[in-house]
Amino acid sequence: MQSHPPIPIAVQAIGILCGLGIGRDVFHAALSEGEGEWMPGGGDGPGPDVPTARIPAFDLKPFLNAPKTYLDPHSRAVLAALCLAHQGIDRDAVPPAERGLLLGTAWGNTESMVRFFADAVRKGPRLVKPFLFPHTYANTSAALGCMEWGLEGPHQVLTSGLTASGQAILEAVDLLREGRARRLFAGGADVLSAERLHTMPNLAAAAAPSAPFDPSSAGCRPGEAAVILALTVATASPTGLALLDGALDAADSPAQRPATVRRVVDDALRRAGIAPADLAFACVSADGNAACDRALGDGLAAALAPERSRPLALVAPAALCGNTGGATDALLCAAIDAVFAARLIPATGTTIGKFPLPAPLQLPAAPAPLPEGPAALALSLDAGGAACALVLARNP
Amino acid sequence: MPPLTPRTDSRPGPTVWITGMGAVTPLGTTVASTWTALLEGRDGITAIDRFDLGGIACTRGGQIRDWVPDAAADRAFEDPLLRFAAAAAREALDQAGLSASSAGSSRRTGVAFATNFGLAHTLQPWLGPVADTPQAVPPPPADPANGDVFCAGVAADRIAHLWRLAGPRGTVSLSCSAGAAALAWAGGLLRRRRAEAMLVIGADVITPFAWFGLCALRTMTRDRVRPFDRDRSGTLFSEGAGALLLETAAAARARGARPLAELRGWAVNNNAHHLAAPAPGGAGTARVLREALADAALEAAQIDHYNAHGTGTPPNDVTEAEAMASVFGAETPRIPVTAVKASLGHMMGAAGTVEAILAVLSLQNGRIPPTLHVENPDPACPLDLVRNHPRTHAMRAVISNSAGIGGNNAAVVLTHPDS
Repeated sequence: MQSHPPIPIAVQAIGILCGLGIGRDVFHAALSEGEGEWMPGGGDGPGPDVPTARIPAFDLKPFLNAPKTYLDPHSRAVLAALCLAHQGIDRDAVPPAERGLLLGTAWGNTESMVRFFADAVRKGPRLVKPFLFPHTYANTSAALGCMEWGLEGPHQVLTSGLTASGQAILEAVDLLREGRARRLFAGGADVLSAERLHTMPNLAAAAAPSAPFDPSSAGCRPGEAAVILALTVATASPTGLALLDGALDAADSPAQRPATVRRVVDDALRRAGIAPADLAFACVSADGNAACDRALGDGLAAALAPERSRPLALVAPAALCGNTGGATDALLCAAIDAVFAARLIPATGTTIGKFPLPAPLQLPAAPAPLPEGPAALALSLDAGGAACALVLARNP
Repeated sequence: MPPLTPRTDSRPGPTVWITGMGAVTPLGTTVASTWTALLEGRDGITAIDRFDLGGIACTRGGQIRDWVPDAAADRAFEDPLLRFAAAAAREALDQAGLSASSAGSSRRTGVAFATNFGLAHTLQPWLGPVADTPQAVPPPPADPANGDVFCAGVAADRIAHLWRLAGPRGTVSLSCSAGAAALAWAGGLLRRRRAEAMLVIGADVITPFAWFGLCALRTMTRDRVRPFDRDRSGTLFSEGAGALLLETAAAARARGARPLAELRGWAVNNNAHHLAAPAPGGAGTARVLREALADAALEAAQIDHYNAHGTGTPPNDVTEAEAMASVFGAETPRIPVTAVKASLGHMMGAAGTVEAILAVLSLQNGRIPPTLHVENPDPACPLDLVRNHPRTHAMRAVISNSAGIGGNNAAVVLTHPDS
């Protein structure tokens, strides 16, 4: 049963920074080429020996309306993405109280957290820098974004792991349909730090295999991304992309992950009014965490199989961008945008074709023409069991 | 009292009931003991003695001491955040008539977790100087059993797995508004039929990281917390958890459950003004109160009690009073106000959920707990403040307000189940 009238939610703009580059056009080109760049885990400092996909260094000044004295790297990425998400948008066409920001992040401002406490240990807690502590909060980057762009409307920060940005996007869709805002920026961001890399489970070391859906994969490779969608209730969309609906769920145990994925896909498609046969392709969070990837594949196949006989092409951007934490679902939406725009399914597996995926799923061995179908699915599964499915369509 | 206006607004959807509540606070480790202590006018603030304070001025707060959870499963958690959260959640589920075996049955009960600092206790070893500093030490190996400890969402996973809860699961980290914002997020999921039930838990722990940082903000007082008092000089932080089980009325009725209250409306926004200072005139708070009232399809004149954010900091209290005046106008003197942070301290991520629980108890019992330590009400905050003793007052609708670092605001409207 549809809980809201089918009001289209147009994606007016997408601001994106990730390991493939900065900006929508750069992302489109790099995804189509299918080549990622991997850096050592520590970046410029010491860190564990894992390959990482980092946002390229950039000058933040062009992205800011006013200079800042201190920003956590997470905040830098969010502010840059939010600026990019404002491109082509008349900011003042919507009053401040009717425009807002909803952000997902798995890890927040970890560098500031570590810097603050390292300061406390070195100098003693009486002599810490007070200005640093507000920057340790997970919602600070979003708050700075609201201040920078006058976003006084609906606001939320979700720190739910891999599905955080999907939850933020779905909440934004619902709030827009309920008339609580006229424009919402929604997405997610996460950046890496040496300390976080030491604690992240399921990482593949430098020489170990890591590939989506590969059962011999030793784990995932971490990445960074900040992706924000500008959303509005409209029938026309400059990007040609619209959000139809989605669903959230979570497994109560690892054994229930496939059933949870099946349920969330069923729910999302039903709410969006889309049949499995209508899907042109799916962008999924598979990242080389073999148990999760398998559950995701099995659940998706189970949701599609009875009604769909033709293959469904998959795109797994983590093969190029790494595991992007709380930015994942937003990055999957950006990848859907890229695929529709290029009319091309990129190849995103390094062990393509060397292992079977359950029917009707396919990970193309080489770039392939965009199949027929008005809609695409963004699907994520977190290692803790939370799942998110979003249905997007080419704007009619 | 006459019933409230039935909803005829443009946001149809299932009615959201509260059917269970649980709490672990500095005043008591259950809802009942906390409520009794509040009505008796007790103060939960004591010395912080859990770790070396390193000579900082902030030496008092709401530390929960000499407590271990009753249930073995809750004691199995090492991180106090999870112990607080599990114990509060267990009490809520028990009150709702859901045992460990039935809580995660065929229906979908999601989890909305609210926290500022997440698993900061578990995370502590990795917050020291790991990188290129003279004091750099190799970090301890991560225990896979802890999950990704830098991710606050892991806490919700651990609690959900305890009761095999399957349904939408998320964590809200919106600083001191997180608890109320989690209620808003969960309420929205229920109203949109994205879940049948949501367990909302707000929790935070006093750890060295949190305490040193909060002290550095210079918002804590060396005095008592005196909300809306002319001589107020700051707040004091505390720890604990508050949990509420939300269900659609249909799902609750189907299993014979009765409501404790209705979660009728909510709103969350941002001031877009300053990371730490409130917006001039309380503009952001005023907007969120109006939006919550509109969402509840209620007029300001229908609110019978206001549960304040009331931190006792000079800027917050006056701007909150200004916001109230802006929203409630001539009704302001009629609406009794309480600020329980004077008794409990500021429970950070748990504040919004615990204060919602107290608002429900006020509705149910027709009593408003007092605001302690107010000796000289600030004339700049002309409110009907319930001081010193609890007040008997029949209520149909209560609004509870929260605000947090980052300029965010969240408000929830709760109504009596018989209204």
